[in-house]
Formats: sequence, structure tokens, C-alpha cells
Amino acid sequence: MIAIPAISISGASGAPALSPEAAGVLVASSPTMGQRPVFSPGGSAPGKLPISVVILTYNEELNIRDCIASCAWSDDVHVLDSGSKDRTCDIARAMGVTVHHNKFKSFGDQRNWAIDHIPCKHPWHFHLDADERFTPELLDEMLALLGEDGSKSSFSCYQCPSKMILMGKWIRWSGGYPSYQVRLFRFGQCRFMDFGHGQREDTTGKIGVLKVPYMHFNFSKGLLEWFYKHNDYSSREGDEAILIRSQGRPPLSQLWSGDHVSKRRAWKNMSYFMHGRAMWRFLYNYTFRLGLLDGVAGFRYCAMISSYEYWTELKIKERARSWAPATNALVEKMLREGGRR
Amino acid sequence: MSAATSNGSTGAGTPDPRGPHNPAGITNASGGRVEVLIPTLNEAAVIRDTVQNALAIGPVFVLDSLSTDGTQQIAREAGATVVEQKFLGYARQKNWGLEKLPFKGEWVFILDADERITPQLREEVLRTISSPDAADGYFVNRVVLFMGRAIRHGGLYPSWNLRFFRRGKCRYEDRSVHEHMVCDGPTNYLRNEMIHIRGESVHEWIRKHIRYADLESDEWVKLRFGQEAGASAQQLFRHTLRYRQYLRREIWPRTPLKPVLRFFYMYLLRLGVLDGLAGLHMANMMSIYEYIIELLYRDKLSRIASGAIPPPPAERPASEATPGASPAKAA
Repeated sequence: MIAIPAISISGASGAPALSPEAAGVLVASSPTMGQRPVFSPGGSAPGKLPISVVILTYNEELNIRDCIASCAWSDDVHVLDSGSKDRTCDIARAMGVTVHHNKFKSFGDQRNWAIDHIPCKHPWHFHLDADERFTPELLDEMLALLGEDGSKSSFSCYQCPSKMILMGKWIRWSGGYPSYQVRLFRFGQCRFMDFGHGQREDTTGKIGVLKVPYMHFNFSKGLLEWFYKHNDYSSREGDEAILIRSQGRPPLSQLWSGDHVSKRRAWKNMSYFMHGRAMWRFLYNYTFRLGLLDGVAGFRYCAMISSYEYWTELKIKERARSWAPATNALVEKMLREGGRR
Repeated sequence: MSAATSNGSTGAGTPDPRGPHNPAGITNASGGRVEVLIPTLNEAAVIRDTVQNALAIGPVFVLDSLSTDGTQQIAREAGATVVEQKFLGYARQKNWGLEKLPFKGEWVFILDADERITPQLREEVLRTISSPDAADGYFVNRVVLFMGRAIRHGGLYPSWNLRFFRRGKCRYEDRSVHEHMVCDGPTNYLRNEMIHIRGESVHEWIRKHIRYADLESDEWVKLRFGQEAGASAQQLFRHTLRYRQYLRREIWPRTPLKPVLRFFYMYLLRLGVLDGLAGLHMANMMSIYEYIIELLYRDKLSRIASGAIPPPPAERPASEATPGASPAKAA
């Protein structure tokens, strides 16, 4: 057994209280999927790109080592942790990264806290999540767009595409690639606001689009978590469906009119009146969105999504007409009169 | 203890067992010869009914895995003896109970909190214990109630479980989920059935099955890494039930298209279609369950291969050794 020395987690600046040897042991003993360090184009020393990296974490022991390894190209990497109970912060510090702490309220709030309180040294910031990784190609593109001193670009922020990875395979078609999030922005010209499960950008400047994706290991903590989460999501969908159904079917015209957000909403509301959600979702993702081109991984992903829709379907049924009273009545009858015969 | 403790002979300690699941209010029909063991974790919603139902046969022991919803109190008030023990795994927990609880009778009936003993089954148990040529262990048939219906098809019925046995004759074999009993003496089958109420919400049903799938896929991983401590094929083939276990453990994990086969088997081959919509949903859910096991298994293998999680340990750590084993054995 390797003894892991206890490290104090007081100061926000948190200079590692570890000897280099102890830090090396701690890093070497932490989980990895074998991520190689990612460096600046041309393999030069860190600091060539004018970008500081901020990583939001909460219990990311499984991911943090690989995530930081993919930031080896930057000389200014910060972790903003919201009270991890595992070794996330210790590993980050042992890898020479500054760790900050702030209690989590929402993604938008946490990212704004990072903008306001973390002393980043570069004019551009990149917010990478712990289950995400940079690639050398992405560094090339960012260098070309921003220039070495960051003054080349006239944009305030960039929409960044990501590659969803399931069991080592990129889910390209069925995952709806590319979908974008603003992660790269110029300090002082972009903030965030809460939106849906996550956040979106809050800026008056120009928004650019990156071509090269970063890697997103959505399932890095195992599929188990995905299933538990989607069991919860489908229950919420069930509640939502009952609410929407009680308001009556919306007019079909809504499906084609209005802006992007309201059209999406209309399609979703309409789906609560449909039968066979699971089947339709599978057909949509697997054939219409060409999930079949993703091979086995695509099939798996479509089957997972469609199971989730099936759960939603069943929960809508359950909420519309509970079968608990029927079950209770049957039990009492069988205990009075016996089971079969 | 309160100073106002009554004299005890007034029956303050013997609560009324009458309830919807024991309508006649029968108690201890076996005269203490049969005792019931109910393992629980957070069963506050149903435990009163379970205990009242079980009291009809004999004294009831609730073996609780540190519930946080007040199960213990309700069970005690309903007339059970409650013993708390941190959860050791489904099989180990019950083996612990069989060894450590202060049973006095010759027979034990193991009942889950969502199961009920029908009056006919109770009568049959009473006849059995007074028969001179009774076996050592009995398989009890179980009918599932799901979506307000008794499920009689789909391969879910009959469902034989060794639940009623002479104390000391049977134990659970050590497996983290879908544990089975092993009985050295002769076994037989009871004709009447018990009820298994699937009264939980769909959310709860799915949550449970994700958990089972997690444990089951762990078993498959152990199997893959040659860790399965179960009996060899030769031993397994000696008994029909064990032959089915062999299929399930050795052959099934290696079979392609499991979810499709599972659905086909349940819904068409075993006529789940005759159970109406409940049968269809049951077949769908079990098919999804099958796929979750498969996905978790593949995911775990791929994460072991990439180094994200360690492979299963070569030997069981000492802390997981069979509880109650003698110190000499554990060392």
C-alpha cells in the first residue's frame, strides 16, 4: 500500500505542501485512462498560447489526472472545486495546478465566480470540464485564430464543438454532432447565465465558432451513473408530461412557427401526446440521424436513449392512472380467498 | 425504560396482529415450531403488513440493515423481534441472521418485506411440520403482482425458492446478487404459493434493477477474470435447479442478443402475452434490464482495460471474509 500524505486544503492559492517525491507518488497512484500530455504546436514549452484554463470539479478523482495532463501546454491552469470529498484537489495540487474553492450554486454562477475571483494571467480563458480533454489539433486552431499574444481575434468568445466518447468510441451521428458550447472567451467580454441543466454565454460581443472539437468522455465515471441519472430525468419528464397534457394539445402550427427555442418546446410538448416514444426516438436517432453509421457504439447509444424514453413512457402511464389501488385490492383478495384456485 | 412499565401480564407486549394482510388475526399457528426471518432495509411503508401476515405462522424476527425510515420501530410495534446489523450483502446478511438470531423453533421461513404468505400456504406449512417424513428444505412457489395483476406467464411463474427449511440445514451460497440456497438434506416442493407484491413505483423498480444490474455485471466480470468462487460445472449438474444456474452463469453471459432473446422468451415462448399489458411491460423492462447488465459489463471491462478501475481482486480481502467465521479461519 502506498501511504498518501494528508495535505491541508486551506488557502485558495494552496501551494503544494508536498515534497516533489510525495507529489510524484500521489500522481502516479491516481486513476488514469492513459492520457498523454498535450503540448503546444511544435512541442515548445508551455505558455505559447495566450490561454488560461479553468477546470470546474466536484469529486473528479477519476478524471482529474488525465484532464490536467491534456492541459500540459498551458502555464496557467486553475481548478475551481466545490467541496470534493475525494482526492481531486490533492492530485491537482500535486500536478502543480492552483486549486480554488467556491460552494456550488449553479454552473452559470460558478463560471462567473471563476471570472471574478481567479487571477488568470492570460487574456483568453478556456473553461474545460474534468471529463473533457484538449487535443493537439484544437491547440493548432486556437493559436491560428488568437495569435501568440491573443490580439489577432476580433471575437469575444467562441462556440466549441465536442466529441462524445462512449466506451472509447466517438458517437458522431446518433449523438447529434456537432453541438456547441461557449468555452473559450476573452476576459472581460463574456459572462455566463444559467440555462436548462447547464449554462449559456452572456455577451454583447461577436461569437465565433471553432471547427476542431475537444474530447468529451461523458461516461468516464461509468455507465452506471448515466442510468441512475436518466431514471431521475425520466421521472421529471413524467411529471412534466402530466402537466402539459392537462393543458390540452397545442396547435400543430406551433411546430413550424416561432424561433428556435419555442419550436423545440412545441415539439417536446407534442411528444407527450404521442404513443411509442421509445420506438420513435430509436428510429429518429438510429436511422434519420444515421446512428447506424456509428457501428456498435451508435447502436448502444441509441438503445440507451430509447430505454430512457421507454421509462418516460411508463412513468407517464403510471402518473395518468396509478395501478397501486388495483394491486392492494388484489393482495387483500388473495389473502382472504387464497391464491390460485 | 419508563418507570410506568405495566405488569406485563395485561398483554401490553402482544400487539394485535389483525390487519388487512392477516384478516382473521391468527397468531403463532405453529406454536413456535416455525419462526419467520424478514430481512429489511427501509421498508417502513409495508413492514407492518408483512409482520402481521407472518405472525400468523409463528414468531417473527426482523433483521434490519440499519434503516433510516423507522422500519425498526414499526416492526417492533407490530410484534416482531428486531435485530439490527450493517448490511453484509444479500447472502451474507441472511446467513448471519440464521447463525446469530436467537431462534428456538425447528423450522425457519425466510420472507421478504414485499412477500405475503397465503392462508393455504400457511395450512400446508403446518401440515408439513407435523408429517413424520418431512424433508429438510422446501421450495416455495411465488406469484408476482405487477401493475395490479397476478403474473402467471412469461417464465415468471412458477418461481421456486428454497425458503422454508429445518434450522441449521440450509445456507445461502455466497454471491452478491441472485443468491441461492444450498441444502444438504432432502428437499421437496410445497404446492401453495406465496405472493410477491411489486408495489413500488416505476422509478423505484428501475432504481432497484439498475442496482441489480450493477451487482450482476460485477459477477460477470469476476467470472471473466476467473474469480467465480461458485461450484464447478460437475457439481452444478447434479441437480436440475443448479443446472439452470450453470446455464445462467456460464453460458448466458457469453450469448449474443440477450435482450432480444429475453423478450422473445418471456413474451412469446412463455406466453407473457397472456398477462395483458402488464406482461408486455414486464417483458420490455426485463429486456432493458438485460441490456443494462450487458452494457455495464462491457463498460467495466473497457474501463479495466484502460486502467480507469482496477480488475477484481485476486483474493477476497480479509475484511470481506464470511462473517461469523472463526478467527483461525479468517487468519
